[in-house]
Amino acid sequence: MTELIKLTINDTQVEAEKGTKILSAALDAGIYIPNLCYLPEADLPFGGCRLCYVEVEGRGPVTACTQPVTNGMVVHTQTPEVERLRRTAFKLLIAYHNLDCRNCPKNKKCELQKLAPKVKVKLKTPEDFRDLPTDLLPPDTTNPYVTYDPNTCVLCGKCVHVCAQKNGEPLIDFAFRGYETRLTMSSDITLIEEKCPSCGQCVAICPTAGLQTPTSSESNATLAEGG
Amino acid sequence: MTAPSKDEEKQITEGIREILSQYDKDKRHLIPILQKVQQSFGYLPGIATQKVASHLEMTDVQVFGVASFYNHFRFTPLGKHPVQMCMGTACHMVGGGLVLEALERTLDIKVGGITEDKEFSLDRVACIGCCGLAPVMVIGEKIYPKMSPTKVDEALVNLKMEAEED
Repeated sequence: MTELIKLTINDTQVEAEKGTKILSAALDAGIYIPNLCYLPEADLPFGGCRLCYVEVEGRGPVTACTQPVTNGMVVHTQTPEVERLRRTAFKLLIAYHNLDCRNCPKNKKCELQKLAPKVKVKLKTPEDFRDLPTDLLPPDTTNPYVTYDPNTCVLCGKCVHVCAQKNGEPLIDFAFRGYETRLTMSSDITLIEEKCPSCGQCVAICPTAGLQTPTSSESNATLAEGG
Repeated sequence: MTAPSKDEEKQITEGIREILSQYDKDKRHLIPILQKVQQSFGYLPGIATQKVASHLEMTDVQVFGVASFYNHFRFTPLGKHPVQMCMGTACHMVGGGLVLEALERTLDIKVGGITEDKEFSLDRVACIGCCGLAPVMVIGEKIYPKMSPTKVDEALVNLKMEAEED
């Protein structure tokens, strides 16, 4: 049996197996910590969304998805400092996001819409940041099974992970860097047809409207079931 | 980006095959291979990512992800006159960005692009080493010191006329 670690999260005694990260220990104990890019089955946490900041006594703020639990650890999930960090992280996520929610196929099913009240941020382009380019980028439609919209993608990396799990190697990956970072799929149609099993997992796991099935948003469900 | 002709494509495929034959199938060779390919052709042709990917048993998106991360790699060929605008600290401070914008307007291409007639390509570089002459532009081997947006046309006009005569 694996060793059990005892820690305190928000004055609650929590037990978790050695090697567990704070985030999954908290979620298992019914304590909510905002998160977006976290995948429990991933070996290595992506740690990209920065929404799961918690305060560990004696250590200060850490991302709960990357920090393993230790004996006697005291974690606070609601301090003003971590809430501020989460707000900033969330604002950075939406700073570059096409916030035309009303016309978005993922409206009311979007993770960002669910998260906004939890991190206490309004879903509108933050005004306290330096101006970013506002021109919408064209969607990537080369893949017949998946359309990529760089304007709503939050680069959480979930699709890259599930695709790699399913196919051995990702058929979607990050490209470029900084503001220009976006996802890329093979531009070669024969290669896509050969390798992409059109399982729809990437579409199903996408927290926003970044990846969609080309026909309409309604067929998402059927495709996801097939995968 | 204009697609390479059949002959060019054959030449590129051959060249890449030769480069790949020098490396075994190990992911750690990815960047050295890409550097070699760029050295031979001046850029990374579209088919290069696929050929390199299948040699290293990676997917082409992974190769593209790595290559696009580094400014060092380019996906468009160099023009006959490669234009480089210095964006080092000194050139940046005295308005290098404005000159770069003027170049983009005049050539009607973005940084990293190439004009349709393949005469000019435009890139930003970090430092050319003559900060005293900032802002500095380089076309081919020739250095254009103390540039300003208004001097862009003047610098390009001869080269453009030369291109029309050919």
